[in-house]
Amino acid sequence: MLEAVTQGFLYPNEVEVLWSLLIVLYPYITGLVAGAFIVSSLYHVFGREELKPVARFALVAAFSFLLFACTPLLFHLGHPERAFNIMFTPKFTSAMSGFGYIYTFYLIIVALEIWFVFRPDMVRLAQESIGLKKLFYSVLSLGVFDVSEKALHLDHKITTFLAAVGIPSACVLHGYVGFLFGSLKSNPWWSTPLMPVIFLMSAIVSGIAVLIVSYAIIMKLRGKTVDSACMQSLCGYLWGFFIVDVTLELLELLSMGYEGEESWSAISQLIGGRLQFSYVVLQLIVCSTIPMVMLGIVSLWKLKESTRNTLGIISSVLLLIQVLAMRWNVVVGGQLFSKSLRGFTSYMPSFLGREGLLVALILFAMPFVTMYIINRILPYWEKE
Amino acid sequence: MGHFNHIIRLCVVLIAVVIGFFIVRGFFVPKSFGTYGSYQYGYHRGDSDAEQENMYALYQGTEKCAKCHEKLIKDSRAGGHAAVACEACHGFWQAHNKNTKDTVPRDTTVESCMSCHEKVTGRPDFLPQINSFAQHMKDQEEAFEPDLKCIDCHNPHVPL
Amino acid sequence: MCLCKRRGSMYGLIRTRVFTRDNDMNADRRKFIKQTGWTLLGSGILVSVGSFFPAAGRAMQKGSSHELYGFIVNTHRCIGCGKCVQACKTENHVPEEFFRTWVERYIITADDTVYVDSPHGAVHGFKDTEVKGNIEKSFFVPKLCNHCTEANCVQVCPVGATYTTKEGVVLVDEKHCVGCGYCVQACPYGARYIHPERRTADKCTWCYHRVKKGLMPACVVVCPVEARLFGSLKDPESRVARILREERIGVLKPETGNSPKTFYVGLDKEVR
Repeated sequence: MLEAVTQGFLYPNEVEVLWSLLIVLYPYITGLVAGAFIVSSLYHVFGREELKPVARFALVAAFSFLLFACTPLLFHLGHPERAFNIMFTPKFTSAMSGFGYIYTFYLIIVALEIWFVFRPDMVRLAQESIGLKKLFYSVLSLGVFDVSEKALHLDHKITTFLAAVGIPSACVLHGYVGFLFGSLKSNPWWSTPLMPVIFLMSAIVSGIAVLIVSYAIIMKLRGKTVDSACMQSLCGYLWGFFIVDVTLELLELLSMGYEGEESWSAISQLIGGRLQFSYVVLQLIVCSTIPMVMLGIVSLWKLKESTRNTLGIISSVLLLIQVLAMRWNVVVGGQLFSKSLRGFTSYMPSFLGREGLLVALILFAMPFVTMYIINRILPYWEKE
Repeated sequence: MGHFNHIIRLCVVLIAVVIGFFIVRGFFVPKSFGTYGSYQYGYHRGDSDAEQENMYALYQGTEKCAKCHEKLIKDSRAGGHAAVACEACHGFWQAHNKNTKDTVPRDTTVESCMSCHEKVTGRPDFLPQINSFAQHMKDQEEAFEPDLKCIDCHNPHVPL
Repeated sequence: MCLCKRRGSMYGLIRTRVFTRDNDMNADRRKFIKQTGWTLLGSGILVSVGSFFPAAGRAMQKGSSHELYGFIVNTHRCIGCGKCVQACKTENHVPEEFFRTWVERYIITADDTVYVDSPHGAVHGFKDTEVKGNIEKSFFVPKLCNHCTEANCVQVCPVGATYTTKEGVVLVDEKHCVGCGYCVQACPYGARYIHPERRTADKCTWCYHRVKKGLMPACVVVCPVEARLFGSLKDPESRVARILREERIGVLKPETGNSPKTFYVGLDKEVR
């Protein structure tokens, strides 16, 4: 972390920002997980057939992001080798203690769902390949090659069940992060009962947005076109969830400003000062109004397919930025003002170092690499 | 009927993982870990208390100094520094403990006295304070010499 | 029981093996094997899971035979010399850039502007102020961990590394702490920090290692004007208990509900 620029009075221990860029990245990644999983469940549980083209991809995306969700935390911890203490001796009065079990449980649910969804492919690949590959796929399918109709029917039921169990699990996985911040009475920028819901809604928004962008890019790379009904549906859901999300965010701000508690003088200075660009310009104005209008046009009018796709993709990119800005504003913003309400500090991540920009970029890229690797092992795009 | 072999195997794998976790946990959690009192405030590794208790104490308090320097301390009770601990100016006792022939630090500079007695905004009125050494000499109508120190007029153990 | 590829399942294997002429005896044998198997599995699970829950049997020590400590800060007396900060740093090997205790100076001018400063935690005391204008009042406020009765820093520790001892002192088990920093965020008073070398949470311990030996905390020892006092809240004749009965007492941020055990005499409304 680069040298902080302070203004006013801070408690002597407060000058350095403790929860850094990596702690901004962590809820961002779990948010993408939640959103991608919701899309997958919309198909598997609620039977939205138009989402079939992205259903498997969404599931794999959720799994890939989930695999790397804990890595920013491991890089941040003072003692990552003791990380398992959170599962060995959890103290359940702490929201953070939920992380170990909720994460593991949800990881197992998603892994199981992928296993059941991909089982026919695993069995087919086991039977078609030879040597080491055959062994690999046989182990992966646990040595059972039963793909009769009855077995597949059972698999389908279980998949539906897992997807249904997965939805509240995804909500808890991301909601607990919101509660972690929202329940902290010592920080007036964080402390609000709305925090878990805001986090969850923006998570779903970012998840759908990343699916739209990834889907468009991958289809372009494969030389194919995106499925029209699928894209339309995704944009529609994105708009809906975003409306709820932005309503809650504005409500929180309005409520704070209206009540005008003692902390408001410090918070309003924070918003007008150090957070002016990331909060006012990015989160509230540019990356909210433009996608809101674009997605509204997409959802309410029948547009030419290319126009609709372009608007959808631009909105998704802007929303990905909006949600990242929101995470930054909450996590870093809450640490930029003193608990004495009399001073401000600054934060600029370094490029190198354990919690620097480079590490963050690499950790964020890893899930995409994983998705590519999974596609090589168990191809999840439709063969045409 | 009978098409759930793969599910049975899956369950076996999962249960093995869960049991394996608890076995591994048994190795890593210290035996003294538990709830002492309430779960919210007392859930911790019991041995930690004794470890913290047994840490080395550097400062020892004026009573310890009195064991050898009784008269000096008794006399100081009559003056303005009665409530000031020896270690406040002379540093912690343990530095003296290794070899009592080693003297504790004795900072006789003006700065040392001024750290408490300089007039600084915020200091309450009961404390005797001066603006500066030169000003104080002037007020006392004494000649100012550059090498002069506070202790040349004031006994640091029994000041006014 | 091996996994027979031909039959394709464990279940199939059991079926072929026991399907003999003497069905009744083998049916019993099969039943017995099944029951034993389930019992062993169930017990295995119970024992593993049971070992997981905190030892509920370890109750607090019998009776109220242990102490209860409290701390008093008298802002009428503090002269801002910084000796307490130095002593604490020496006694507890506190790193240079962080503070287990520090002193703040408040200067309030006639136009109700409040200036607060704490130059490097006041480890070298204070210099005279550059504040212009008519200074109405100014005073020093020493700060340290409040060792709250209902410390929310203890509540939010995810691994049980920070806790309250039976004497009411809040400590950090540095061998168990993972350095997540949640307690640092939770503390409303800014009393905690992450130790740069140990990479665990750290804070004022009321010199637990000293008070258990019958000594005073280091900051209390060196304070030349008795602005800091430490003692028993249980013993009604202790200095701390008497002051609590006789003086007007305040605590920092009472609205948090943390019930701090560091009490202030002369706490001004501007102090946060």
